Amino acid sequence: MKVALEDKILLNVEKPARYTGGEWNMVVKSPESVDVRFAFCFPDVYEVGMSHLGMKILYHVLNLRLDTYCERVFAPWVDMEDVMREKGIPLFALETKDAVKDFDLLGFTLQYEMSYTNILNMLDLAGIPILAEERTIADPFVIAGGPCACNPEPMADFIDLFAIGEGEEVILEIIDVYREWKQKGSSREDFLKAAAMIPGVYVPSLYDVSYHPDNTIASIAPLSPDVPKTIRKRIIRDLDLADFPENIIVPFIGTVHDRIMLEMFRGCIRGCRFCQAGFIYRPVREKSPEVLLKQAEKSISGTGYEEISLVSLSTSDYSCLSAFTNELIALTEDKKVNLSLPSLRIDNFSLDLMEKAQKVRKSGLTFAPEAGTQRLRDVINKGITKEDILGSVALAFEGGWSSVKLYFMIGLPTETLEDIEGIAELSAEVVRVYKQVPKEKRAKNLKVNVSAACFVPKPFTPFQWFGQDTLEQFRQKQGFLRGKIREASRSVTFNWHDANTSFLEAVLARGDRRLGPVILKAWQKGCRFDGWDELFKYDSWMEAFQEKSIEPGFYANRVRDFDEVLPWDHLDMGITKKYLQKECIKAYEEAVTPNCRIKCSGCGSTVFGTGVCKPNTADSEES
Amino acid sequence: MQIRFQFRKGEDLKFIGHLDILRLFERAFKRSALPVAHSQGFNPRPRIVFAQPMPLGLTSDGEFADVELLASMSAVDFMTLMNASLPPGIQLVDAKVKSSPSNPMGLVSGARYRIGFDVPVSFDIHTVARKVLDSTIIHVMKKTKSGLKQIDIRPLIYEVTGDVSGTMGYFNVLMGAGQNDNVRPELFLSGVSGICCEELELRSMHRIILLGYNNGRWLSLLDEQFL
Repeated sequence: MKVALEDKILLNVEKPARYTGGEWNMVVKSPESVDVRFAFCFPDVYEVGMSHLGMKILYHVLNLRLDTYCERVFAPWVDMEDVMREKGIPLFALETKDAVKDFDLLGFTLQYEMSYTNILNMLDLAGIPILAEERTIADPFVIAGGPCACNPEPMADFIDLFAIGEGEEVILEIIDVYREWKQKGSSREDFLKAAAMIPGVYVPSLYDVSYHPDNTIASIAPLSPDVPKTIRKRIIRDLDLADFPENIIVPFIGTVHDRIMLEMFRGCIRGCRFCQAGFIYRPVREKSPEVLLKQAEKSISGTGYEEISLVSLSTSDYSCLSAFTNELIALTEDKKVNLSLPSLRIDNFSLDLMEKAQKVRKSGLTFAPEAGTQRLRDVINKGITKEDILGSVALAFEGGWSSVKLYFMIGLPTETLEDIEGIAELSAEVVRVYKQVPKEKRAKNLKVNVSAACFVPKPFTPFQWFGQDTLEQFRQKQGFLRGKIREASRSVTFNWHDANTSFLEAVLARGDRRLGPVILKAWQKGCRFDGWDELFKYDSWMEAFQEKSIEPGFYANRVRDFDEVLPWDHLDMGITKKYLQKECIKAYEEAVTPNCRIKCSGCGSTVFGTGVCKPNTADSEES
Repeated sequence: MQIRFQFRKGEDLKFIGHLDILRLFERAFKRSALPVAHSQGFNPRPRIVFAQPMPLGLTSDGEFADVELLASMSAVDFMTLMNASLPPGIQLVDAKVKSSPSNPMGLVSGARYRIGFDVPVSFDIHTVARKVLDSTIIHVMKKTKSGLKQIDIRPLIYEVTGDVSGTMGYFNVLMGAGQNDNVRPELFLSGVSGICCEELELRSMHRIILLGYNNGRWLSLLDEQFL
């Protein structure tokens, strides 16, 4: 069924181009010519979803298949949703404007816990039963993947199957199994069982969770012996050989990241203990400079974009950064394309690099000390010292920058008021460093922007057992820090965020299956776009917890024992629980762990035998 | 050298605003690898001038723009390269090499439109079209920077005919366009609504062509006199 979007509708919604498709490089296929119709669903608006590299990659690899047509679906903004509900317009895909309900497979990406209600809302708009158990043979299968899928349990009621880890190979295997199943025409359960045999696929309905009287988990076990007990994440062994989209869709309207994204490597060698991405994407696997340059050149000519950005968790850690960027700058200058360099450690090399790469005026520089004292930075294994930070800042000021952003977190494990005061002191020192730069050398109008996020403990990090600060603690600390910053310097502005969102994020991040009914209830109470401050309905969420007799603090604020069964224990991200425990203990001992290139710390990722963990380079400290 | 081209903007792109169209052309130039001249400065932009901005919701067969190239090439080659680099919803339909420095923005004096609306019951479109031309004053409220302002659009309406197809009525209008005397299709429809004492609801607006005026004649911006 094709959806009819009259002009009258589109002229009365914000940014109608969110719903019309037709962009340069959009893949056009005849739906009749394919066996499998795949709807890649991003649970947020077009401008956010179109900024997501993972979607571009999967859209590309799926559409390379002649038997499959992958189309894009985004969450309609609330104004459009109202019209769709009023006129009975179902959720549709941008490419063909066909109703999503008529597709074979829906693939949601879980980028952020606060988008979960949007998934329910999109399923409802599509006319697909929200609960997986209520779907029939006439309904599509609903797949989900992405970083939040490393604890899929809160979404277990709504998703038929999860793809754990990197998606570009496993998604193709799922399609193969689906095609075979479709030809046979048997039950939904048959497909799910067959899919559960694919490495990296987790079918939550095939597992049973039992609980202790104190509400902790007793066990998570497959319902039948042929279903795997643990599911190991998938990774791409060699990124040089992986298909990467060069002819990406070029949106007509501005998006959040409206540029070519060149992925340099996956994973991170650093092991900052708060950072989930630093653990779940291990091991570090780099693309070679030759492949990157080829992809950059083809992307520029294929899209016409005026900007290209390097993408990784830590640009400075790329092995041959200097040689690579020299060649890349030669290319971007020749093609009149801007190069943006995020996630750089600020030193002489990188400032020089930015000077060469960006001809545009000097905008702000961002530093992420994360914590205010050396003690706490050692706890979180953020391997930088105050001297590093002030040295970088001095270089930046001498180089003509005068606007810096400093990112911190509050509520980190072992934090005391002294650590929080340290944030204000460090910010004041940054101001002092600026004043020490001779007037004729520095740019005018110093701006120091300090922002402090509320720490959210995440699965598969050494802090996964940690109890998040309560809302009261967060508010007290925010107030305390505000006062200290005001005392310390007038040149510093302080930004903070209401802690309610971080609290709910912490609940959902480490929740179990019993949160399903709460999420459903919250959605029924009108919650969606929870990540958008103006639409976040904290009170409705709290009512939902109450009505479903779930205490959210059990998930957010409770300290777990090391021997507690965690809701994600049946998933294997390559990081052993033993290693995370060791790292957790070291954190409390304020002991740092060297990065993967200096010394292997034995996290377990050597099982993948690739990247920085290649057998001949790995030097494991334990067997 | 400078090339002036005529392009169409179809259904797929009618909800893309003017600034987004501008960026679309900038990217199309990059994809085409055409030797387009760029402005100087921090942020070099291709040298392109559009005859008239396009409001959201408008489709058109007759938009114009001038572009400066650093190397000479035939208009036909230019068109072929550009069309291979533009999405299906927007395509060049004609192009000519310019020999005068005329600015396309300054040339536009009028435009032909086909304006669609929901036909009310017992609505005689021919009578209404006649009434429009017979009026001496057509007052409408126009949004300006300083708020709503009453203006008379009658002097800027040059031709009106109408036809009906199913539940849709269409006015085919030649009226003022350009920097000074622009009448937007909604304003026209609002003026007609005033005349026939019935609120007409805009359903579609299509610009057939932007026109210049020279020696008593309405001419395409690609007419030799303007090049």
